[in-house]
Amino acid sequence: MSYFAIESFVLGFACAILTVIIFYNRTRFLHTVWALFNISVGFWAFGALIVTLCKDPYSALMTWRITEIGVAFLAVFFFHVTCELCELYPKKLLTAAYAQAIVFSILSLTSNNFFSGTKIVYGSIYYAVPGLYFYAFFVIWMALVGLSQYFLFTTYIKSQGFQQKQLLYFIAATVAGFSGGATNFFPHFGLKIVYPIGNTTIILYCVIVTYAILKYHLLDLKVAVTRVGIFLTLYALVLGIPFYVGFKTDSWIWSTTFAVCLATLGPLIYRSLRLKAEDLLLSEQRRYQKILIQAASGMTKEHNLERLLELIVRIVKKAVKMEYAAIFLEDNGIEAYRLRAVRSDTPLEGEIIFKYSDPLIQFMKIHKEPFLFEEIPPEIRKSMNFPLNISLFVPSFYDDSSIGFMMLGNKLNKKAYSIDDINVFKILSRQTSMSIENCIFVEEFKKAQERVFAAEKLASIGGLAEGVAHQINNRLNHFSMVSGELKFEVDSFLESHANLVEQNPELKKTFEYFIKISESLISNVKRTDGIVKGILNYAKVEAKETLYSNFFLQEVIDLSLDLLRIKHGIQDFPLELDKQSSDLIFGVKSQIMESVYNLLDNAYEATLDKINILTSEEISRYIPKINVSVSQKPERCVIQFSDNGIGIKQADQHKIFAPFFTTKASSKSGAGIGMYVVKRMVEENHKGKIWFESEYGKGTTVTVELPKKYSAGGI
Amino acid sequence: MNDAKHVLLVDDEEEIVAYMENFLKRFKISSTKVTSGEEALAVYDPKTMQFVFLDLHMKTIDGFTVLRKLKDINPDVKVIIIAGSPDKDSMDKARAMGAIDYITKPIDLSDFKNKIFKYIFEGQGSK
Repeated sequence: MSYFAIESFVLGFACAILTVIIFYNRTRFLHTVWALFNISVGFWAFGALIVTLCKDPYSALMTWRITEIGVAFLAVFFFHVTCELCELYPKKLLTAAYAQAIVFSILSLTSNNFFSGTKIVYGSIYYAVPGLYFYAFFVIWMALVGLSQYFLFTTYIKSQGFQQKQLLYFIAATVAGFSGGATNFFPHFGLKIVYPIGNTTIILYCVIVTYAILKYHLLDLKVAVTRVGIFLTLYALVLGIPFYVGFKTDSWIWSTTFAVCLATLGPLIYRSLRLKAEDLLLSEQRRYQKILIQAASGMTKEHNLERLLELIVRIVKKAVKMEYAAIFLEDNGIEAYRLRAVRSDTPLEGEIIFKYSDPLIQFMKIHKEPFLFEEIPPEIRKSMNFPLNISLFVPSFYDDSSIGFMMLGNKLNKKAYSIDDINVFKILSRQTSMSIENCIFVEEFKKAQERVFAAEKLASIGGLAEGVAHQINNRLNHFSMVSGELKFEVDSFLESHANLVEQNPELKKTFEYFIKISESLISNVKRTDGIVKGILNYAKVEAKETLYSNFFLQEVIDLSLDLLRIKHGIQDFPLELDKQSSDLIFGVKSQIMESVYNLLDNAYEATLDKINILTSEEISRYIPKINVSVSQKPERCVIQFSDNGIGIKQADQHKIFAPFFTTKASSKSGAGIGMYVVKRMVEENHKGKIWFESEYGKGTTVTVELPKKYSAGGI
Repeated sequence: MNDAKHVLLVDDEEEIVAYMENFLKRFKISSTKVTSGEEALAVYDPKTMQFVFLDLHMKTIDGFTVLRKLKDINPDVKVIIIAGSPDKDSMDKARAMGAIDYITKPIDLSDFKNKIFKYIFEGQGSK
């Protein structure tokens, strides 16, 4: 088999494979045309192969005639691809190009003026002899290829940056390919130069360019071309020099020596040349990759999750300059991934989540590695409703469990994400996941510390309150006894001097007044004492009260109301108790008391805050209402606290139970541990549940569910 | 036990015992007032002091200790507790240790009077 035949076979085979790959992966019309181009090149290559195998002039001529259709169309398809690539659409010219290809195909098949016969070339190949039409065909063919190159060149001049470089390599590759390919015409015209070596460049050209265009996103065209270019040049020399030496000197010793030396040095030279070339080509990319890797290594120092996420998106956006960078983190509570940080040129509205069931999330969990938009299966792509273009998707896994992902938009300079980029994002994602885990751990740790702190704080408040209450109680004792004395004194005087008093109305009136004020003093002392005891009970929450008992909610509410009236300096607390069934509840009275106190206090403050957002007309119509309802279920008791106060803003709702969180501006409000303590008392100590529904401006309903039986693991 | 109407008043607040002493005088009841558990145990005379009003919360020796020691000295002593916050636990404990009743702080004189009549006058009579 001749070199020509082998070459043709390789070319045809390569084209067939490429056609399949292109067709399977095509995303743009450009790719379809490219596939057609490959089909025509392959068609021609197989035709050429058959020609070399033909044993008689007639079958060779027939084969030539069919094969030339491929030649006619490959130029047109190349022209078309160029138009697509340069975003030029000369409709008439394209139509004309296709028309001439059809015309010449027909002529090739039918007319003796296209190919008139064959002649032997290179000893064994029946090469077609051109007729008059063939000259016209050749001229048009060369013109089309030339025009394509011209288009590429003019677009190259106008383009900028990366695109310009990309076009430059494309031009270089096509010039090389067609200059090699065009050598096939030479034997037709009786010229015996270069051929059949020239054909080799078609294969390479075809492979490089098609692969680069197809894998546009995965492989930078310029890098691919550079690598292959260096490789080819170098190995052409490595193989060519010994061959040439052998050819000239006719000495196999010399040529073998050269071959061995060059083959040894080849890979080393290739490596160093490649790195140098890539450094030049990729300087910009390397710069931001360096920033990202530095950022990744510095991340573990940041312990605040919100700040960390902000930092990541900021650095990524700034270094890589894409449309947006967004981070989603897993949120077990809502079984979804929630957008936690974003830097975007176009603002993102509202809360954005991806449910666990989202096909994209399922895909991510299988894929695990970063992937490009192009890699997402089309059916998933269709079902996505994210408002921005997803260019690169970077999942973060920690210990095989997914903790979140980063989504990136297109680069602003329209560059594609290269394999190197993706590798950098892989490192970044690993570092990020570790940092995020670290943050979550630190935050959990902080929370645990805060709990301890809150407990200590309560205990110290408790101790303080107890001391103060004791002192107040002692003072009250004096008041109590003095006023008691006064009353007894007056009583006994009235008893012993009954007549005297009866005779003197003025005196009687005075004594009756004395009795009245002494009684009033006594009753006030009693009330004050009740309040002090209330404070004492409130403060004793963390004290070791292990006794669960049944008691009436009414009782607890009354105690709370005493405290609340004092706290807010009011006579009437706007409360309705709605007992649908018995208000008997089971629990630790002091803890339920504190919970009720806190919930009613919050409700009351919400009604006060509401006034701030109402107009004066609305205020006159506004009647604050706090409603407490109790209902008994078989296993549990449900208590609801509803108010028509200000409500809780959506953004604050998830923070309500967090320690040291408060929306209350007044100095009367506490440290923001009220709801946190209530939640722990209800859920941890009583094994109950607490939740709320709220609408800003409308009001809040807090529901507390308490089990009726004592369950192990209580306080 | 000739003078059964002599009472020991124990409270760490000087003024409280002073008021109580003054109040008891109305009913011709004499009393000894002390302001600590130690003093109480030092002055306690089982022969004359059948009744003791005892504060539970005192700085050095608490009421329970005093109560136990008083009971050791005189098992028949009638102790009425003066409680700041009469929670069930401490009241049960005091009762188990032999206290017969309690009055609460702040002291309501009419309640105090009722207890005096109930235990000192009537109780003695019934005995």
